[in-house]
Amino acid sequence: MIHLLRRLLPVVALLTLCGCASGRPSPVPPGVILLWPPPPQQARIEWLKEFHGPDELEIGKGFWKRLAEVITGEEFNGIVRPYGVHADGEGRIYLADTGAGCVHFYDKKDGVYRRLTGSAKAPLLSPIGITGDGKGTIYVTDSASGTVFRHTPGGEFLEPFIVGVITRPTGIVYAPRTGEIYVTDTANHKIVVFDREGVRKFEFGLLGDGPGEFNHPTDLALDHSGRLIVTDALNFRVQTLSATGEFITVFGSSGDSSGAFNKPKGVAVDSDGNIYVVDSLQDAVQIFDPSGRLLMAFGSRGSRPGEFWMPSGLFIDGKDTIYVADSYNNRIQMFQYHGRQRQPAALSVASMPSGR
Amino acid sequence: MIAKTSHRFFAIAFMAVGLLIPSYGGGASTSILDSPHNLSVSSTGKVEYSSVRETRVCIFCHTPHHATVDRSVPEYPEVVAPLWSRDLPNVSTYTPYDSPSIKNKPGLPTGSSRLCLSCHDGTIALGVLNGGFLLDAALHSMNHAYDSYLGSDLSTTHPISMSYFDGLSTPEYVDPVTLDKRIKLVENVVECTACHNAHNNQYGNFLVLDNSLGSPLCTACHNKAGWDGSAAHKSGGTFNASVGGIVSANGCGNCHKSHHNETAIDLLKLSKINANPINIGSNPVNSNCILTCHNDSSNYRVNIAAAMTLTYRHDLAPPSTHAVNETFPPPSKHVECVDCHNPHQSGYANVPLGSTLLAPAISDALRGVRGVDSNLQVVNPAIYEYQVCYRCHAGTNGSDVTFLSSLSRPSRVITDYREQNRFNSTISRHPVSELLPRRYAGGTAVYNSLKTSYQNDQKIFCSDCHEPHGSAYPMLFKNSYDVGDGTLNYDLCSRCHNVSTFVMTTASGFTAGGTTALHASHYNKGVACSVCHDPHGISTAAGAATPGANDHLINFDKNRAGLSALYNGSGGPGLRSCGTLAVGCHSVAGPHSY
Repeated sequence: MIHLLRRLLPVVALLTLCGCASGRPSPVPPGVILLWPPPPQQARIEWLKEFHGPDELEIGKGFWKRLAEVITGEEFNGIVRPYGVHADGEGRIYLADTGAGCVHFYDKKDGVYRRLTGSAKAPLLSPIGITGDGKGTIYVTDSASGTVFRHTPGGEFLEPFIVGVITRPTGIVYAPRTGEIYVTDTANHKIVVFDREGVRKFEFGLLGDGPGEFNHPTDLALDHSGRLIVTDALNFRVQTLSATGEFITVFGSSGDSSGAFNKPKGVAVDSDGNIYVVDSLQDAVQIFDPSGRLLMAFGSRGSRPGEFWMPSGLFIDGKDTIYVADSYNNRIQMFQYHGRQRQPAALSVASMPSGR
Repeated sequence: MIAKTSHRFFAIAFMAVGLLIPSYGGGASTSILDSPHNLSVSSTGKVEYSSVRETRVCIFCHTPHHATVDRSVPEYPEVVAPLWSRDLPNVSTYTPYDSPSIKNKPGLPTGSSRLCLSCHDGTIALGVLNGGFLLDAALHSMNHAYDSYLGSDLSTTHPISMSYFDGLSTPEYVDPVTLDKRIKLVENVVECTACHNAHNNQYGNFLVLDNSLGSPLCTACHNKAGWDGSAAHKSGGTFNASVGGIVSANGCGNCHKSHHNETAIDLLKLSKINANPINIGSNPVNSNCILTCHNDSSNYRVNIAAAMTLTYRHDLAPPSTHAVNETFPPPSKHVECVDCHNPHQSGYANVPLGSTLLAPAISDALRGVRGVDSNLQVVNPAIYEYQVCYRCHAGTNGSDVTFLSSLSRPSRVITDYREQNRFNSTISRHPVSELLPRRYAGGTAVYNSLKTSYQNDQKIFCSDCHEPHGSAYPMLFKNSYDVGDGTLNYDLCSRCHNVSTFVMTTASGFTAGGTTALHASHYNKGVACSVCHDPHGISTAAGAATPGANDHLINFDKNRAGLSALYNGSGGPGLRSCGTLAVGCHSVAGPHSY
């Protein structure tokens, strides 16, 4: 026994030293500020950080986990090809990783990282959209198996929740006011609404290009009055509908220039009601006011901070932090929206911070 | 217990389907309007070409380049500019810091592949799915950042956005100048358009050419050495005509799948343990070859799965142990099918024993594999059968042996598991890599103990005595051979030697005074052949000495002949001594009874 401990001592010492090392250096060199629009204009969007896995969020592995990994080998917990993001505004982030077939759960508050998968009987094949009820339960759509999965706090796996009702579920959003769950059925061009028990309540939408009609709708978002924003992907537009599916407004057209849509995906709303739409082929996020006028866009093609490579999912939490799933860069980038009243800290051109 | 019928059905159904992804079958139509890429709102299956809405068919991929125009005041149409940054419509504020090492990761989708992947990501259309069950937790199925280096491909899907011929080091690719014109490279970069034509679904799956007979789409670029008529996986072999026909039609698709693979390495399908494993005891078999096909004897000539259930076998390694270009000796000794067989070249000609092939020339089953020769040099490809066995059973690899603890095996006076030394022995050996050392007596060749047809200068194969896949007999013997377990059965030796009519008679020369056949008398007292004889050869490097101590493959088994048994064969007949200084079978020279 003593012999075993003596052999373990150098291992333990090494791991402790590893634990003392700080997180990765910032990818943004000192003196570079990522703001849109650029100074001297009033900044609205500020780049915060990016992460490829739990390390950059400073969620370290526990000591025992690292010790176990000396024997079992490191478990791969990086992001592969992310889509849906959901954050509760208190440091918990959920990420649907289509490429890895799992949901990553980053809990900055408790310093925990978990990798949630389906069970062997019901695997997660193609997770796309993710939403949560604010009390720890999350819902994930699996577009390949036609299933909506659910994870309750304390559960080990994602369990099938809605099976067989939807052909290809993609976007999903939970409405806290009514306790309803909206799920997009992309293949059938409609949105189906369920209650918290998974019972179908009603649905709306059909194939077409008229008001309230869709052509392969995908992502969903709710604004603060409970209205539903839908990415109507192959009609190259974004529609706003009431909570019961009545058409309210629409904007957008097909094109590769600002204000037009090339391949719109994730959609979200900030606290001022502005609508953000990710465009995967423009490698940018476009921002529109509630009536559909273009406000600005940020992002371009690349792999550096502030650049995207075919981004997809989008989420804005209650504190106006924007999460963009930068799919082919295998990372999530986080930005901050500064509304008309608020300004980012390091703004003045004269004062350049020494680094982040 | 293998559920034979279900696996057979599974295997055939699998092969017959070919590619596993939901196949949008081709019809005769070459028009996009009849294909699944007709995404317009009026594509309900009823073709209404006159409808004005049909003009919108192209817009889903061919984005118009006009800027959005604000027509709220019709007299003054304005190009829309963002309200929050009027001067700079869509620009990143990234002040470029100069770093020559920063570049986009290799293989990030570019060109037309971006267009395909922007829909085929699981939302508008299904994309690359994750494999099914993951029983081996160490084997993760990742299809992350497409690695452009073909040699270390990590993705579960055929890599894209990589240069064709830029930095490729192997000659097994067709020159891009002579490529089939229907395969469209974009400035020598492979994109989705190399294999797919998004407008035309006449062959199914939007392929650019008909891939249903022998995978011409794959072989248009991939020119594997030896993939010709003698390769059983290409021709379908001669064992079973209907299965052979399916195999020959599937071509590359017998083993490979270009999208949605269960594991990443070599784009092999079914290479991960699935829900219906074939078990040996409680351990599931990890082999793409066995799980896909080679698991019954009516469709395939050799039922490898059955061989793997026998007591003695080349146990298959866990997945990912073998690396295609591993050096010899490899970091850890292992056996997988591809360690001995090249799936692209393997055929059936000239096997097994009794064929027209002259030992030690390699059979077609082992064609195209690297080997190690008697001087421990790597030969590519191996030209002799023993060179394939020497990959593991020679040199330092050879001495690194572990045996089944249940196996009772001899402990020889001169021990050397480096087989090249045993077959190279200058004293005594079976002629595997070299002919016999001394076979002439008085000017004439002496092969008396052999059957008449074998009495000539020829070598033998390892597989004349050993059954490489699995055997009920120890040491993977083909027949029984007593290794000291008391069965006294020598069917193995009888394959070539005249045991009863020569060895056991006075003709063998092992006599007492010329009248008593000593082989027979030893045998009748329960002494097995293996007590005195060591069949491979007596290693000179390990001390086989002249004269006479190790003639006639004598290398006593110390477990039975005594720890210091000696043989002195240098005297003439009648004077040889199997005596020993201390404990042994015989303590003094001369005939004995005990």
